[in-house]
Formats: sequence, structure tokens, C-alpha cells
Amino acid sequence: MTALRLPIAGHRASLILAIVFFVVSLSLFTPLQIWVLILSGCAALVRVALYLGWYNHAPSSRTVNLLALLSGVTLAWFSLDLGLLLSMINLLVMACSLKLMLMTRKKDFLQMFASSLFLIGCGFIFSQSMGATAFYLATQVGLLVALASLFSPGMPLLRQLKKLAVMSVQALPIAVVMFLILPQLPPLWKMPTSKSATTGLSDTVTPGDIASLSQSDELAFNATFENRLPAAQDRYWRAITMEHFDGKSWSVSDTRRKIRAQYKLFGQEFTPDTTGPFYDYQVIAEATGKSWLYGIDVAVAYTQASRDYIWQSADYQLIASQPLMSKRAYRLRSYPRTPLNQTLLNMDSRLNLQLPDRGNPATAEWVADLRQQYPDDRAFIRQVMNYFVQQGFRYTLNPDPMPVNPVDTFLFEKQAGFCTHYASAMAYVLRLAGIPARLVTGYHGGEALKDNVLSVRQYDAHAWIEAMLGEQGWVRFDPTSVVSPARVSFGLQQALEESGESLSESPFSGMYSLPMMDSLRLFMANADYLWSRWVLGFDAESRENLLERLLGELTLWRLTVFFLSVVAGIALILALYFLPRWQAESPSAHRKLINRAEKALTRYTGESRAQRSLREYQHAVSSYLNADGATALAQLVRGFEKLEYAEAIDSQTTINEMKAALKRLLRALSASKPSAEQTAS
Amino acid sequence: MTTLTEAWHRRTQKWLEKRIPASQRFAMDLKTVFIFPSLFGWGFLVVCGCLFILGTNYQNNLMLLLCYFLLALMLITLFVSYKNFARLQVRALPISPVYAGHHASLTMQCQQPEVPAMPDGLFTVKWWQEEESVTGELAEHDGHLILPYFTQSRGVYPLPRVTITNEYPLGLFRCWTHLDFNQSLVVYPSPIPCKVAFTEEGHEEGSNTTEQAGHDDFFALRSYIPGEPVHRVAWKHVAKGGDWVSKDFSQQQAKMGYLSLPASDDLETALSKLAFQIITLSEQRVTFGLKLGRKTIEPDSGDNHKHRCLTALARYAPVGAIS
Repeated sequence: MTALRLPIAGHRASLILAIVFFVVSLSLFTPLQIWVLILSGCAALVRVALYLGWYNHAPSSRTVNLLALLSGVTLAWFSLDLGLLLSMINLLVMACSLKLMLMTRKKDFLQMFASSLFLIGCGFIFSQSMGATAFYLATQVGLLVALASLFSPGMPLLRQLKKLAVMSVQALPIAVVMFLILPQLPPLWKMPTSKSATTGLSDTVTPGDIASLSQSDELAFNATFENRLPAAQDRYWRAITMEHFDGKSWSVSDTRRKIRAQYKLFGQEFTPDTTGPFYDYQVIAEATGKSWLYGIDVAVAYTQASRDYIWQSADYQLIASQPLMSKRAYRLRSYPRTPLNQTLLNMDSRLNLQLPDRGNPATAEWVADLRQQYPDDRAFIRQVMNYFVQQGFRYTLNPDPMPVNPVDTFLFEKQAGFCTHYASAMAYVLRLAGIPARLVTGYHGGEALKDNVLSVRQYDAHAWIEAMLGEQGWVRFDPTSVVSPARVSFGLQQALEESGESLSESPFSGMYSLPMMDSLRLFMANADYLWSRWVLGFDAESRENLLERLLGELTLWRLTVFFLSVVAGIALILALYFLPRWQAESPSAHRKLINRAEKALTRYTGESRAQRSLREYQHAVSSYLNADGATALAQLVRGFEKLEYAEAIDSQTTINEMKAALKRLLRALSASKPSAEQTAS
Repeated sequence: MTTLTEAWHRRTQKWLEKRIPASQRFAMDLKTVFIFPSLFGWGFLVVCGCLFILGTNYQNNLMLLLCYFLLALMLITLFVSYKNFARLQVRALPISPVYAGHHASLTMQCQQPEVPAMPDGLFTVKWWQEEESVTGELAEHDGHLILPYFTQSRGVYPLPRVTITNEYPLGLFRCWTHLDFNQSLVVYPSPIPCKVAFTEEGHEEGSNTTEQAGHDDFFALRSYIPGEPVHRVAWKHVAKGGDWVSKDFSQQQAKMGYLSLPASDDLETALSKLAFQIITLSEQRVTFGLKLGRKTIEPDSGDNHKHRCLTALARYAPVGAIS
């Protein structure tokens, strides 16, 4: 076949491939081990040195094999910590780096190309933002340039780029059509995921934690509602239910974890019976590295894809089948009126009466007193809420630290704090009073990006409690709402303005107050939302909607016709690109002019040119013409001969002269039309 | 097994003869061009499949989009590849005869004045069903592709079909064609030095052989005619900066005679020796004829005559000699 060995020095294709590979591995900075990154840098450097001719031959395979052995052992050592996915990606980059050093044959090059292509695909596991997509698109182009350079090494780079650009632009509409039309399958099998840095809420809440989140204006998720948004005070997005309190921190109960594991083992999923009105929405969650999802109670997965993806736990929590490594869209249907009483209430109440062994003695005393006065659960809870109001509790994001007996300190000394302080204290108080209670964390509120889009940011993080009131089941109480009604009705920003605090302490915070910066921020948020919704969030449901909008009701017959027409459409696109007819060069200007003159003369004289040369024809017809017409024709013929046979220096002027001559000729012909008709008849 | 492959080759050959008849020049069209995904093309499809599985399992739209883009690109490449190859127009220049053991080279002219744009990409040419190939870009060699043909023994060989392959632009598809330029290569016997055995006209064959020294008397200088043997060039004159001139020798022997096949050696050696004698006599501008089996070439001299005689040697079949 083709020369199997590649040239080494000055081989452009190898150099481009090496550079692109290195850039791609740089972009995988987070999942890659630093030494793997260095290895890939070294490999690229080897290629550069070979290209410039500093060395004449690639490192011997013995050297590289030794290196491979060392790297392999090191990676095997680290892989225990890394988990399967990251190990695989590290392995791929490592193997590619070693191959790059050894790359001497065409086969190696093609393998490298394929691996790099796959690596770019893997890049999308970790980032799917617009920026990342643009970046990977650029590397993709780079890779293709390298490949094209292998198969046409002599072509200048610029021309190669141009040809590739044309091909890519041609391919894009076909790809988009395929993407829109081809059905999206559910995951075929469970893929390994990585452990990596997590953002957002955490598994345990110690009052004071969410304050750090409040400083962050990162996006948590976008929710697009089918109809209008739910009312501001109803936007309680449950993320985690916490049922274990150790006197300081709340966390997910171990018993609950065991129950979940057992349910999963037996393939039993909690499916709440839902009643009342509902609303549908799509959530596009940002990467958290954790597997909880957000939904408004009581939320159930709405489409098949979402049902496959979401596992519903008996504490009404939604759990993703794998941690969110990148943006992820899912669809929910919420029934806000459905009571939360469908789980094993016995077991729930036992779990949620758990108390820490010691600590917070003042609270215990106070609760015992209060409980005697209010034996009714509801009255007791109302009284506790009243206590927060009567005692003048303050909402602040900068409370004093409360290291010892935090609930005592909060309730009786400081009396200032934010949502987790209130929720934690109240849940504890209720448990002391024998009312099962638990802490729920999640988000509350959100900024309306559009009429039906809610954009929820990290500073919307919130905590509230649920108490079990007999047959009614779990009922939500939000102590923060009585202390700072603005927090619940208008959001954090409003609440802070009332208490005279500012949200962020960063020096740039003032910038958002500039109107231009604010509109820019809104624009970026909007662009990001649209990208997430239409590109990342495009799922089977959206595809069905799209088809329904195009076709009306989806019948098999209509679908068949539609798919066939799509195939025909693609064929048509290809025909448009490649059928030669479209590109057939039109006859040059001077031929067109002569043809027009010939036609007019034939009509006028009744004598066709047939096989005669132009000169002969001119002689034959000039007898019919008047003096003007004859000179005009002579000039046309001269111009034509000049352009057709002689080296034309200034063709444009000659063409212009010919045009003028043609005009004169036609005028001369039409002026003597009557006589012409006589001749003809 | 071998008979099976041979039968297969024969069948293909026949099919090709019908599909692409022999000709001096070819333009590519749907009949002449074959196109199929290369090995790498299949590999590319496998990578696309992997990306699809990855994208599906992670429910990652961008990966799917990337996968579909690559597939669409491959589809586009199919057409680009074909269109590029279809621009090829090939004309074979006549192949010149060689001595056995030397290699002949077939030159294919791919640049036609009426089609200024040549196809891009690396072209690989080889003889049909041979391994060795030559690779190059057309633009680099002014549209010439040169393919060597290695010879072992004398004879007249119809040239096999030439396979021209191109994988432009991305190597995903392989375009190729098998062209028969309808040419035969004449391979002369390789000359073996010996004494010139020259039978003079009128004498009985073999009775009176004059042994000739290989030198004639120097007669005059005349300007060099391209194609003349280089050893006749008056190098002393050239070295002084003069034009290329040849030394002309007087033709002392006005005698005419015939060369014939010596009976002593085996046939191939005898033919090789005969070839040497023909070359020597031609250089000396001796007028000679050739008697070879039943075929006789009348005495003459000059380059054309030499080639006629050598061709007769190349074609000579011993059966004719026996009968």
C-alpha cells in the first residue's frame, strides 16, 4: 500500500497530531494525574525535536518499553484511589504518549488519530459548557488537519484548512439532522464514574455551612416549566433529607442508607400515589459530583429516560443512577398537594426521634417546660415558631460561631443566624418534645430567567424541617420564614438588604450593579441556559415534541414517510454539494455576446452560421447590414478573436467594447427591421 | 489452493477486460473507479461506534453530536474522494525496451493541458497483484507517475494492469483503478562479451569467419547526436569547454555479412552473445544481417536495424529453430 514508514524530520502531520494531542490532554487537567500530563508533554516535545531535526530517530522501542513498564506500575498503584473511569482515561493518555514517542509508521499515526478522537469524546464527560465545546471543536479541526496532511503532504496548510472547512460545513447540517431525528437510546449499561471535587450542598450540615454557599453565585440548576412558574413561596427544591443529629451536625441516617440499599437490592422502588394538580418541568442540573437531584415535593420522574435515571427513595429524595459529572437534564412532574404520608410512618417516626446522647441541656429543660403547657403537637409547633418571633431573632449570614452546645447558644444567647440554625434548632426541639422531625436541605426560590424558566443559584441554598403529624404524615415547616419573611418571599438578596448585609464580599461584587455588566451577566446566563436546554437537555421527550410539532399526531405511517423524506433530504443535500451540474462553468462572457449577436443576425437575415467560421459568416451577412451594423459586427468579431485566440491582456475593456458594439448592432438591426422582413419574406 | 486463486485471478482479469478495456489513455468515470472504505475507514467507524456507546451510556448529547458529525464527515468524504479521483486522466508514454536484468520504467502522464487541476493527495501505483509500489503526489512530479518493471529474462511481455490508488482526503475511503495500457515490453537478451563471429556474404555459412578487432580508424569529429553511445564522445574536446562532439570512424570494411546463432552454447547464452555482437557491430557501423532459425533480417545498419535485430532475439522461440 502506501509507504508504511513515515518521514521523521519535517513531517508536518506528526507535529500537528502531537500538538493537538498535548492540548487535549492539557484540557483534561482535572481527571489526569500530573505525571501523566508531564509524560504527554514530554512526548509532544520529542515530536517537536524530531520535527526540527534535533534528533534523527525516534527513541528506541526498548527505552519506551521500559518507560511503559514504569508508568504502568505507577498507574496501577494509583488506580486504586482513582476509580475505573479516571484510571481508564489516565491509561489512554499514557499509552498515547508512549505511542507518540515511537510513532514511525503510518499505522501508528492512524491509531494515534483514532485514540485522540476518542479522547476528545471523553473530554465531554467532564465539561459540556459552550466554551469547552468550542475548544474541542478547534482540536477536532486540528486533528483532521493532521490527518489530511498525512494523505496529501504537499498541499499548503491554508488550502488544506479551506478544504476541510468546506467539508465540515457540508457535514454539519447532516449531523444536526441525524441528531434531531435518530432516537436516543437509554443507557446500555452502567458506566464507571469518577470521584472528584464536589460543589453545592453536602452530606452533612453543621449550622453555619450553608453560609459559605451563600457567597457563591454559581448556577445550581435551571428549571424550565411547561406552563407558568409555581408561586414564590412554594419553590422548595428538596435535595437531601437528613435524619441523624449528633448534637452539632445533621446527616443522612445510616439506617436510611441501609434501607435504600436493601430496596435497591430487591429492585423495589418507592412510587408515591399522587393526587391533585401537577406541573411538568425539566431540570438541567449543573455538575455536583454527587448523585442527589432537585425536585419540588412530591416529584416523580416523568419520562422513561428520567425514570431510568432517577431512583426514588422513601424519604422523597431523588437519587441519580450515577453522580453528576457534567450537566444533566431530567424531567419531573410535581404534585404539590399530595400528602407525604405514604411511607412506613412507624419506621420513619422511630428513625426521627433519635437524639444525641448528651449536650444542649438548657434546650432540653426548656422543651420539657413548654411541652407541659402545649401537649398538642400542632400547638407546640406553633409555640416554637412564635418563640422565634417574640424573642426578636435576627436573620444574618454572619452569625457568631457557636462551638459548644450550639442549640443552647443559639436559642438563648445569640438569637441570630440563618436557615440552618433555625432548622437545626427547631428539628431538635421537636424531637425532644417527642414529635418526629427531620432536616431537609435543598434550594428555595430562584430567579426567573424567562416567563417559564427558573434559574437557581448556590446562594439560594436553604434548609427547612419536616415534622410528622399523625396520619397527615410529613408536614413542612420553615422557621426561617417567620424570622425573615423576605427570605422566603423574595429571596436571599432582599432578606439581606433588610438586615443591612451584602451578599458577596468579593471586590467585583460592585460591578454587577453597573447596568451594562448586569445585562451582560443576564445575557451570558441566557446563552448558557439556551445551550443547556437545547443542546444538553435535548432528550427523547424533546425529540418527540419536535416530531409532534412537525407532523401532528405520530402515527407509524407518518413516521415512516417522515424518515424516508429525511433520507431523501440528505440525499438531496449531497446532490446539491456534488452534482457537477451546479458547478458547470457558464460560457465565458465573450462567447455569450457572440451567441447573442449570432441569434439576432440569424433572425434578421434568415441565414444561419452552420459550420462556417466567424469571419466567413461575417462576410456572408454583412451585405444585409447597413454601415453602422457592419462596423459593429466587425468590432464584435475582432474582440471575440482577441479574447478567444490571443493572449488577452485587458480582457475587461475588450468585453465592454464588445457589449457596446452588440448594442449598436442590435440598434442597427431594429432600425432597418421592415426591410429585413421584406428580405425574409 | 493455488489453482483456486489462479482461477479467481483469471476470472477477475476477464471481468476487468470487459469493464475497463485496454487503451492508451484513460479518463475516470463510474466504470473505471472502484471505491471502498479503507481499513482505517472501518476503524474510524468503530471509533464512531465507541463514541455512540459512550454518549448513550452517559446520556451525553455532545458526544452523540460528535459521533454524528464524524459519520456525516465520512459520508461527505466518500463523495470528495470519488470526485477527486475522477479528475484523474492518465496517458501512458511508450515503454522503451531494456536488456534482461535491467528495469524498464513505465511513465504515466497525468497532467492534461485541457484539465488544469490535477487530483490531490498521495497516489500509489503498482503492477496488478504485485507488492512493490511507488507513492507520490502528482503536483510534485508535474503529473508524472513512473513505475519500474523488473525483468529477468528475454522475451516480449504484455504489461500487466497498473493499479492506481488514492486515499485523499482523509484516508477513510480508498479509490482505485486497474488500467491496461495495452503495451508490451520487449526485453532483449543481456549481452555477454564474446568475439564477433561474422559470416561474410557469399561465403558458405560458418566457413570463413573474420575476426575483427573492435577498433576502427579515427576519421573525423562531428557534432553529437543525442542518443549516440556516450563512449564515442570526444571527452577531451568537451572538457576544454567545447560542444559535445562525437568521434566518427571510417568504415574500412565495406564487407557485408550475417550474424547467426552459434551452435556451441546453450540457447540463452548463444542469444546473449549474439546480442553483444549486434551491439558491437552497430557501434562500428558495420552493415550486417541476422539469420535466426527461419527468420532472416537483411543486412542494414543504424539504430533501427539494431533494435529490429535485438527484438528478433527477444522473440526467438527455440521451437522455430528446431523445425
